[in-house]
Amino acid sequence: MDKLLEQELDIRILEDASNEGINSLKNEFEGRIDPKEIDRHAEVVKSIDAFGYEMLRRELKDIHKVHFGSEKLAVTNNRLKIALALVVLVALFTALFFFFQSSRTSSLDATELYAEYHEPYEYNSVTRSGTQKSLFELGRLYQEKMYDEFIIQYENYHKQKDDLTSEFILAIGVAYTESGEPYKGVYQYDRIIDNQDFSFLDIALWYKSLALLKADEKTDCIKILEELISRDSEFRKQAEALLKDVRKIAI
Amino acid sequence: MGDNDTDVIGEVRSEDLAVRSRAIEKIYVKYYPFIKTFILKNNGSLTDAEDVYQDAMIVLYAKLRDKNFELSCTLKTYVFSICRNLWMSKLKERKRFDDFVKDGAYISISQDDFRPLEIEEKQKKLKRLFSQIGENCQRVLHLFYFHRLSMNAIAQELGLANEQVAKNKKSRCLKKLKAIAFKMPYKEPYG
Repeated sequence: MDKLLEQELDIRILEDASNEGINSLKNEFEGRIDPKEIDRHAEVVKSIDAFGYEMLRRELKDIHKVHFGSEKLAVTNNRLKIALALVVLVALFTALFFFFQSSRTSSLDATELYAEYHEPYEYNSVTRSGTQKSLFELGRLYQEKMYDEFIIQYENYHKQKDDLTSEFILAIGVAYTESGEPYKGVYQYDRIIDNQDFSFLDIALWYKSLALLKADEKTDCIKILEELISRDSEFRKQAEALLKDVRKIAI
Repeated sequence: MGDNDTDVIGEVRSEDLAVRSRAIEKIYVKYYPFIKTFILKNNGSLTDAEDVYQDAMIVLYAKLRDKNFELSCTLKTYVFSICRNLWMSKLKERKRFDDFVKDGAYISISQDDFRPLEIEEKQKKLKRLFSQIGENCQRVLHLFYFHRLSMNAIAQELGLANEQVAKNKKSRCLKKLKAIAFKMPYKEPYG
């Protein structure tokens, strides 16, 4: 290709290197130059341009680094500072929480610890005892937490009949324990345990451990709790937590 | 377009590469904070702002190096319009266009103007071959085809005797590049 033709091609390609531009160039230069040569020329020019853009981008990145490079670093530093402050705060709150928890437990006595863990057994006389009017009345007293009245009526009932379910015996145990007679409560729970009523065994052990705690029998309470944990019972988690707290006050 | 804009555009079109570089730096530093605020306001990060702005500067340079191109608005509006277009496309890709904040003056930019950002695979391959023609050849072709410098300016930039020597060198280097790129026969001239 002579230099004049090359110069002409350069001017036209630099003006318009689009596909349409190149096609119209081919028509215009028809007979003067192989159309393939026009394509090759355009490709080379475009690739030089692509190389140039890459160089320019590098130059722009350098400019950015010089004038605004510290910007991202500042943001990163700020983010790090915030993250660090959050970590410190969380650590502080966790430490405070555990400190509060441990000082709270160690300052409790056995009765207070009992109150912390005790939740009354939910006995439902309507569904369970159904038509027996006296048992129904007893159940109502239990639900309303009128434990003293409940115990009096239970003892009267017990003189006549001894046909109580494990569920009802549990309620009696809770009533005795709650009204300040934990040993009588323990006796009721032992009735269920001795009867080997497996569906009520774990819950009876749990309430027995609470009754022993209320009676300040910490060593026996620990034994029952350990048994509950080793049995992998449904009360395992509560038992583990209570055991931890009882051990603190047992020292 | 303000007097300041005319001056800086004149500097971008200068035949002296050092003046050009300084002008590009001047524009970059002047409008970046403005673009950064816009991108950050519209769900972008600092990295997004940097990327979009650099793409916009490439588009801007491709337009300004063409001496026939005339700016119909201020440089700031033009730069903002390119950035706005680029960021809108990115947001659409990320499907986060709904909460786009519509502020700032802008003009419509032709899709053709963004061609410098779309490098075809063919060109990427050829671009790699560019390194095989030697540094001097790379420079002369780069100055002529990318920066669109005159042969006279190229001669001065490369310390060549005159315009004609620069022309011959450019022609020879182009032939060499074509030979490598298209596996065509090439014979190194004497002297």
